[in-house]
Amino acid sequence: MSAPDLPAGIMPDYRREIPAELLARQGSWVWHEVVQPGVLRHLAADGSELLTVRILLPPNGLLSASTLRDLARWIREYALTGRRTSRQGFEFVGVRPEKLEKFLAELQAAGFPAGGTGKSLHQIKCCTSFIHCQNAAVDAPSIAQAITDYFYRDFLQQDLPAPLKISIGGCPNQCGGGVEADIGILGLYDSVPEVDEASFLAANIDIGLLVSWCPTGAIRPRQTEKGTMVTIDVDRCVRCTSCVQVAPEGISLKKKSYVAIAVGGHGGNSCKGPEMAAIVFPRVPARPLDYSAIIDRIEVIINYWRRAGKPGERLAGFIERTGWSDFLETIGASPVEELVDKRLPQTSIRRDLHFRY
Amino acid sequence: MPGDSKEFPLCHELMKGRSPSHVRELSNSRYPLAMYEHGLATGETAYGHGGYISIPELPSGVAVRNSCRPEIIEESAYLRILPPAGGWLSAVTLEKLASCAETYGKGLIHLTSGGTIEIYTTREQMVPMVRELNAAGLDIGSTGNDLRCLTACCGPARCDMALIDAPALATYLGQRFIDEQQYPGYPQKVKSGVAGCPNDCIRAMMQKDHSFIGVYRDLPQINNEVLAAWQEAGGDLAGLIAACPAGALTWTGTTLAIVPNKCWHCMACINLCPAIRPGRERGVAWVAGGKYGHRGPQGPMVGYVLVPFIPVKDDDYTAIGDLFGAFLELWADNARKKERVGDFIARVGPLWVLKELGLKVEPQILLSPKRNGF
Repeated sequence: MSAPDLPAGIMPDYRREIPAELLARQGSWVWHEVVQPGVLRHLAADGSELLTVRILLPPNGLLSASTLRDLARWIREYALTGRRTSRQGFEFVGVRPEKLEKFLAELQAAGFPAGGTGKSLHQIKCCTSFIHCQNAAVDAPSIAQAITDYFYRDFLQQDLPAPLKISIGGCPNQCGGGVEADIGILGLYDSVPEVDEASFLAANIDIGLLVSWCPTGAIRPRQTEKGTMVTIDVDRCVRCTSCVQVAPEGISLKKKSYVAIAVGGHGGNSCKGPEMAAIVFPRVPARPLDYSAIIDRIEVIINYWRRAGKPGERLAGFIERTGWSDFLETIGASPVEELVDKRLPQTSIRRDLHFRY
Repeated sequence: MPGDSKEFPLCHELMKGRSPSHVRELSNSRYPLAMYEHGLATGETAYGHGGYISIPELPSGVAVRNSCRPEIIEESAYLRILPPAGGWLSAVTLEKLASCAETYGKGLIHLTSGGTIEIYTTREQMVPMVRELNAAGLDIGSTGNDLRCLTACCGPARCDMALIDAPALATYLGQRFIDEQQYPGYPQKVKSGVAGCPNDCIRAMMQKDHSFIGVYRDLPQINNEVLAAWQEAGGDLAGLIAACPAGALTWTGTTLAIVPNKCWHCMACINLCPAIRPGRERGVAWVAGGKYGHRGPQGPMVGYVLVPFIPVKDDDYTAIGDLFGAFLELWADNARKKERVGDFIARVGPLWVLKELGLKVEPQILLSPKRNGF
């Protein structure tokens, strides 16, 4: 008897992960509070409650089988179910109130203390980088670890003006989402890709795709006796590595890299709607494991916002209120000419006379 | 070995910190730590471009990385699992993932930043692992030029703000369009998700090629008794009124009210005060073009709002699914190779997209009329 056809065509139903008693209360929640760092209490109109405990996971959501079993065991003993968060953290949903203190103590002892909710530093989301990726310019997980260790207190307490989210993407693909966060770190390449003629010609590259996928038109075909080659215009190249991904056999780059640090990214739709983070330090060294240059700059940013931000004011709102001139000067950002968008300068240069000195 | 600091000194450093360590997880598995140590030591990844895998039974959900250090490992393969929407993971599912990873993989799973779950393994173990996953009601997909796994926020099972059942809609779309996730036939990858409300906790508007965001169209509902109790307990009414970005909250002298044509329906006041709840006329906005990647002429971009309101009633998502499918077809038929949706819309124009889909251009999507006469 033959096995069923593959692929099986299954998108699982999330309701299977949630016990009936919790599903039955779906849609009844009308408010929530942060009871203490890492503990949420949702309230229904009839007064019933739902406790959630959120923990930090290791960077990049990496979990060994034994840690997975620990999470499962904790769910069985203390909660109704669990979920991963959009930032690669974990939550226990439906924690039994009478067991809360014991649960928190057990999590603490296991090295997974509760935190990262409300006006705390949240889980640092990051991509895979050197653990498993061919495209990485820098190693996001170790940068995430360094930042989390340094600012660990802010994960466990909630005395920031508003939630602080930090995301790290190890290369221009930005899988880790540096552009989305209050403070974002973007891994970037220093070197323009180079074409190796022999291996390029031998690899029978899709020239049309290669030329069209360069976002700045830096790649031009060039006929040679041996076949079609390409040239890369160094002035147009923005080092996005699209070409390296199309033609890895023939195009490579010397992996000199650095990070940019950006601020003020956020989702949500109050005030200005979703915004991508803005680069304030375009070039910071990030050679593993010496991340002091990154941490120093992030610390200055966080301390200024912590000191002068109003309650509820995300970093973007704080910068909007105080103004870019003031913010850039206080954090010691790079000179303004290094922060202007080179490709679309019209998005960076003001067209009004609203000057703040 | 984890205890041997001489062998992997930099990895060992990463186990010394106060916060949970990914190296501890890696070293408790059969992941080749030497590959990561290479990356940390040289500042360059030990994995190379050009890895290719083709398993006839599994057109999608399987991938492989070439290794630049073949003496450590020749290649590293992995499966990508389509998880339940909303991030929900029961103890049973976690245990099943643990046993699959242990039996057929390297004893390690990876919760990706995009919302899927990956298990590192070898080529030979892929089909057996998939059969085991299938038997547990899980499957793979979402690699290459296909529709990527539909993700969602946690939704009304837990959240007090959810305007729609986001994971239910994501599951409906994920089930209806399962073939598109398992047979890569598109010019490029396309990512989609569902956020339950304009808070957009999953940041779908900027992260997804096209997404649906729960919205409401009528006015927020204010319960003035709850408001009074909230004030009694210390709630700051002046602060609440000032927090509305549109200046739509007003105190009548006895009650809090909303100036109808000023409200942005942005959730700010609802987030701040339990006395204010969203309106009842609920649906989804359709946003297209979000991208984090620094690729294509547009680079990273927040998506365009193309349709402000599609009503959702009685959990009937058919109309949304029809739009979803029609747009994917339009994009697939007309996009250049490797052209992400955001660059596609910028090139052909949002009006052309709406016209081809037979959709009305609603006044709510307009940022400003054109400022030239052409």
